[in-house]
Amino acid sequence: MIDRKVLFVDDSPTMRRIIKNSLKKIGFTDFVEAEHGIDAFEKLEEEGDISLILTDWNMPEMNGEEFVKKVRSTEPFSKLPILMITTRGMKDDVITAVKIGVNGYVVKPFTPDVLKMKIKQVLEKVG
Amino acid sequence: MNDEKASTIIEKIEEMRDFLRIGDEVIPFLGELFRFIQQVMPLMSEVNSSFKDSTSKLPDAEDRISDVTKATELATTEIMDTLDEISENVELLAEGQSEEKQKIAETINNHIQDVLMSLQFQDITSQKLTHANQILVAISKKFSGLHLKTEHIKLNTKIGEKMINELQIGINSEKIKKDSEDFHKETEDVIRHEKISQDDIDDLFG
Ligand SMILES: [Mg+2]
Repeated sequence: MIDRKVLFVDDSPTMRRIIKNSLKKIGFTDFVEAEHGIDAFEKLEEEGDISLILTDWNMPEMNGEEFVKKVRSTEPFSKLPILMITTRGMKDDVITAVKIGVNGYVVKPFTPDVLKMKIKQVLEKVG
Repeated sequence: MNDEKASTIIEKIEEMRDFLRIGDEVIPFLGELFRFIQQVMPLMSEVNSSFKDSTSKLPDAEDRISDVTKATELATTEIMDTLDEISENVELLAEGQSEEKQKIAETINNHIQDVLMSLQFQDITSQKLTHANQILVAISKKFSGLHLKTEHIKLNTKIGEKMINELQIGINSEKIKKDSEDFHKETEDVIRHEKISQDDIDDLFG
């Protein structure tokens, strides 16, 4: 059991279920899900004790890039560890992600092992 | 009239002749381009309302992509529900069984997990479809711009008038008609199974 509340954001119900499933397998028990950036930011404020964010990039309303920028510029969330899980696999995308302050990056489709490893790396990096 | 003047006039006439010769080649080409745009527009455009008719396929394509996404999402959810159920039953079956059987149960559940993970394709393909559609919409906007320009030429220039004549006379009208039919066939929707019930199908078979 990992004592951390995770917020995961993806507009695809299929992906949300897969991510949730993988998080359970990894050992997380406390999670909140959101459909897009606006939804996610509301949940972040509501919950108040989220300590890890996994976010998609391509989403309606507010995409992952905008969401990350908003988190990074709002206290007390600006230092939260963020892992991006996306179909966008171009080098430029990754560079953008690094620039806006994403801590780790996983390209879909991913395996539970890769997700586990990336989460571990992100948490080691940011804590 | 001296020789110098005469040769200047001849030169000018030659220039005009060249210009007209270019016109002879350009006009049929413009005519063809114009017909091409006319054929493509109903397929592509929802931008220019004068072409917004029942044959316009692009908005339809957009709706269908969202339908396909929803349908695959639903099917994927059903697959996941079933897999979860199988997984639970396998665990129940394995309870209190020999180590060997428990190992088999574990292997089955690992396979189920692999299938679950591979369902990520649903999100990925939906996004690819959406992207393909975005490209279509962008191209269609370009075509609309092109179409507006040809309309302008048609209405405001002599060449435009000639182009209309070229179109209306239809030197190769049989060929034009065939081109148009071929184009329509190539872009026809062959997987449009719009709500014919099995009963209706059975009735048709008598
Ligand atoms: Mg998405």
